[in-house]
Amino acid sequence: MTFPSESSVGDESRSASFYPTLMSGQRFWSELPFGRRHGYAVHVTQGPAEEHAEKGNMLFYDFLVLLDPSSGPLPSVVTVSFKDPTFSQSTVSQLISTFSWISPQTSKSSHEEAASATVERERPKEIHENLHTLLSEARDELFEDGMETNFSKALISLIQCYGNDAVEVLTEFVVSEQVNPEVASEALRWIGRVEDLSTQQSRLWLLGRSLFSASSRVRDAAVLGLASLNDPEAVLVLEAAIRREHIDELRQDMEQVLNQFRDISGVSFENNKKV
Amino acid sequence: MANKRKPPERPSQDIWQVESLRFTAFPTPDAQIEEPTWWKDLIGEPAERKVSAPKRRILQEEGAFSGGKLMLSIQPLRIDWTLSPSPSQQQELDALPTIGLVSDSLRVFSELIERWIQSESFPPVKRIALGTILLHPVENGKQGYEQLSAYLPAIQLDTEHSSDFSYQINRPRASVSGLADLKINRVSRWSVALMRAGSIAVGPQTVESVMGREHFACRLELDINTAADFAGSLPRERLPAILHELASFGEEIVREGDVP
Repeated sequence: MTFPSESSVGDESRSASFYPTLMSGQRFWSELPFGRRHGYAVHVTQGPAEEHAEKGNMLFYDFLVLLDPSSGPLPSVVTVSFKDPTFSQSTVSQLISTFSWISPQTSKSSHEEAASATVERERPKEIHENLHTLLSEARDELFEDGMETNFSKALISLIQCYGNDAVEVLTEFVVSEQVNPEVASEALRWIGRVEDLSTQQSRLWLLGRSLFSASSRVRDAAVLGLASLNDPEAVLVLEAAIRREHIDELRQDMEQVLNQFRDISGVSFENNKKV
Repeated sequence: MANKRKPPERPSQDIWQVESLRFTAFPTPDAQIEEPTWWKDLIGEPAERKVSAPKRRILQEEGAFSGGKLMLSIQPLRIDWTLSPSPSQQQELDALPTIGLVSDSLRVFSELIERWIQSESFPPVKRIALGTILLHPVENGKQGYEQLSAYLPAIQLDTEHSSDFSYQINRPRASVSGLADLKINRVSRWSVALMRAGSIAVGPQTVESVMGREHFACRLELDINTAADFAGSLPRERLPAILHELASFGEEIVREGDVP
């Protein structure tokens, strides 16, 4: 199963509706490579938000239960008592504290995905937290064109550390337009300057998508970011953005960057192929 | 000269049961996806459950389909259709949680996806993927490893004294769909899984977990996808051919094992 990733700015939007949920009485299946320690992974299913609100008794936490090998075979019945009569996150905390061998994990983290794989990956949680903090605190910073700031340094460092995962989380923040446009613009200008081929595609996607932002400030920054990225693959998305752009000055900026790419010797696009 | 034991024959591909099927489309940056009606258009009725977060550009819909549970998940970076066992299929204690045989399930799922990618409202996409998790029940771990050996000619697996075996490989091939620069990734991961059904009963002051019997199964995870480095969007008129190609590559791996 796949777990929807956290993809919002505020804690309030980490609602149960996007968390997988395990309902009381529901059967689950364990699945572990043969030979691993005794244990079982809880495969939880997703419950809708409205059910959660109505019943108030759904567990929205995924965890992997691992028994210590020395504890012998997995017992057929495990009973855990808890004090809190409301079935909630605190129940899980009690569950975990009662049995030290229960370690919270997601079922996705046990696999190393191939670079060419497309299955949705569990991203390190700290990326979301760090980026959220970074974007929130940056609202108080003053940005000057081309000047490094604490924000830009931290952002680049995050991308260098976490690669595509960091860019994808940033994408979710920017696309949901919950980031201050000034901060989003600064981020877009800087991600175009990062020299890292492994994140080129994801940065290109975010910059291209931002050409269609509702904020003209963000669209302007996306143009600058694309100019810095200097990747002729942006030709098609620039052409589409030019057709939609209603601010003359911005459209001219886009055309200028488009010409920059077309001028790159020998590169043009026909039938979606670089020629 | 030491006697080299002959690996078991590969059984028919229909010994493999489907735990889940997934089709993923990665929209291009300029794709405008506003309140899509794909579920209703394809299934013919509204979803049984729907969760929407318009600000975050997220929509999830799910309902019964072909005996299993179908889910549509839309996010800015990707759109996933997933077919997995229905709640009733998951309630089975003595059978693996699967939706059916690989050939039947793949055909039904592919037909659904083909209708979607041919629809007017299908967005421009940069990349598509067909993924599946397949299970082939075996008696025990050793038999599972022996069976896997038949699918992995490049691997010498000591079936008697091994555990925790997992083999993942990508065998990319050039697409024959008519797009000269398109490469298809053929990612497969092979292992033997130990599975147990269980249930959790929640009382006012207790959580009780009841576990069923153990099941062993060869596990094959496939992720057949168009490579990320393709420039621009995949031509709309070529998508059905590419989808068939992905399915065909998947079936070949199920039939022939890990071959270049």
